[in-house]
Amino acid sequence: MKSYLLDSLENLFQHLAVSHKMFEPQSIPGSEDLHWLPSPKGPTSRYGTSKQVLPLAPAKGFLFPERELLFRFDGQTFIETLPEVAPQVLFGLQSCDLCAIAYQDQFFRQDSYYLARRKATILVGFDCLTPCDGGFCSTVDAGPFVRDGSADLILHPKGNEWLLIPASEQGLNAIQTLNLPPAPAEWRAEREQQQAEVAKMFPTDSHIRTGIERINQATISAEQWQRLGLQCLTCSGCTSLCPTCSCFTTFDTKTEGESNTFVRERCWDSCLYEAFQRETSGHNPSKEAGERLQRYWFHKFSDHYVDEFGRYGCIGCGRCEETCPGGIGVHSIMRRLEKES
Amino acid sequence: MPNIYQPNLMTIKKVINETPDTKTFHLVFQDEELQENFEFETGQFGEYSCFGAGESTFCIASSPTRKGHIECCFRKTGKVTNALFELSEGDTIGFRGPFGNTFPIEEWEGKNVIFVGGGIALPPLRSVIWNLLDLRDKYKDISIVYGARSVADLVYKQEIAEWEARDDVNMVKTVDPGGETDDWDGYVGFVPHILENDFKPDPENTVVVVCGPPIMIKFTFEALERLGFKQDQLITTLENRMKCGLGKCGRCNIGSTYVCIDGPVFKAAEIDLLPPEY
Repeated sequence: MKSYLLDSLENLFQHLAVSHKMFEPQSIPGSEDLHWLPSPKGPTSRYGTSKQVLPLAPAKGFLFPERELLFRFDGQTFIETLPEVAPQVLFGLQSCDLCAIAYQDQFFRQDSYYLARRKATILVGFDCLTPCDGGFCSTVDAGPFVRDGSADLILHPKGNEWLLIPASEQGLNAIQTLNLPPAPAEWRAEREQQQAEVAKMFPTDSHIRTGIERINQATISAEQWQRLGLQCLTCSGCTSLCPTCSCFTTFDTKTEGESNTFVRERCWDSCLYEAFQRETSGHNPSKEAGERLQRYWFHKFSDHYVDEFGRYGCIGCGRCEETCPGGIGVHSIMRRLEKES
Repeated sequence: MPNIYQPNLMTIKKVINETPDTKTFHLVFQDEELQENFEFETGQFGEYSCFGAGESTFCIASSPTRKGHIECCFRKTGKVTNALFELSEGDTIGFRGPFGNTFPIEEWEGKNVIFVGGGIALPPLRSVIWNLLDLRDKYKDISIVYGARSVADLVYKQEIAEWEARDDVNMVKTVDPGGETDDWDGYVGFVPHILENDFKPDPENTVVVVCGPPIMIKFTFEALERLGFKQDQLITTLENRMKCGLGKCGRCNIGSTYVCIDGPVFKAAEIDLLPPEY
């Protein structure tokens, strides 16, 4: 696809804002953390070469919300509850979070609820020119530059200007009437070169590589998992913030005042909860915290899932490390696996 | 795109009280076209909804060779099964399915087939038992070894009597020690023990299909291996906790296996590859 020269982010933002609801990672007063929030005015000025900061939570909830209605049933018929989502733009996605969305696109490809939201969403990604704290996207093929096929529009800073790459038909359609000039021919090649340079700026990842190897060679004993499991408080912080985690539960609730009307809802669940797999008989395939931890990390780093999804289930954002109160997020776990091998 | 979470409505045509806490439902789709065209294969399962209580996973307990309705059999133990237990003939429930893989009954043609089940684990076997009995000429000896905690806990009592009466079925029934009654005419002892010490099947040209709680599957496989059976002769069906039946909710995931889409039917060799606590 052709690529374009964009002289002002503002132009692109306002152009998209004409027919889309805009969302951007923004800080709220009193905190430096970034949150995905509506951004009617945008764009905020932190894009470009400044130090990369990931939003506290990924954009997962836009497409797979924490709680949603699956159907309404009045005793006779089902009432359609597919979400009606106005066209929206997620502006300012980093490559890791885009890889997670691409992963979930595959996982939820038959899920009409996910798809209704996804089809209404344009993804605008930005190349990261510096590593973020705790991020290791380059180790797991999820960044630092936006991967082909993961965004609709890709933005790459070039001084005060931008290389704009439409990366999907939807992305191309969205900018068609902007009549942008083509980007200088050498910019694409320069971008490729620069990605390799940025990848070198990441701190050592030997513990991640060793941990992945040990998980796949199954050289971690049940006792070692159990020792690590002692530090799991089953808070579900990691699974809630993990951009690829998708376990859910469903439950029925009765509609007040209407005796025969029920709704079925689903909400995020966590495979680290003790009761997640517990059967009615009391039998529980993952009764011990170590067993649950083992399954969780297997799901993130097993080669088995590379066969299925073309990538690991971990996109290297490091959010689990940030949030885990027990000190067993990805870096801590992998360092322990490296040290205690 | 169809809504994969929306059940199809079914009417309960008949309720059979199997034991004090176990019932069988005969179910018919309310949509006539679906009722006409619904197909499944033996070994598959469904997600059954009691609206307002939720969804539960049970196998389809009837044989695909018997058209007209499908059957499920459940014990009241949790929220959904307690709610289902209260329903009567004429009531509506929801059904999603069929899901999962199937018993490889074509591979068993020309062989002896032994079914080994415990307690509420007979329903998954019942589907395939009737499937084979309806194609009786294709198989050699058919044996059923079934046990429960007590005589009262035996499900399908009428069918057990029917299988006992047939010349072409070898019916072995047992109850756990202490679970027998004065007029009990079967064995007393745990299923793996009776299988190994009393029934003693010959491994030659034989497959064994085992269904029960994980601990029973384990002991039964071990007993059969002591009798000379090889892993590729042993088959089971698992019923892990599930919410979706579609490989999405994550509940039944063990290692890289999703019981709902990779199973529920597994060969012993596949079970050995799973983490120990399936």
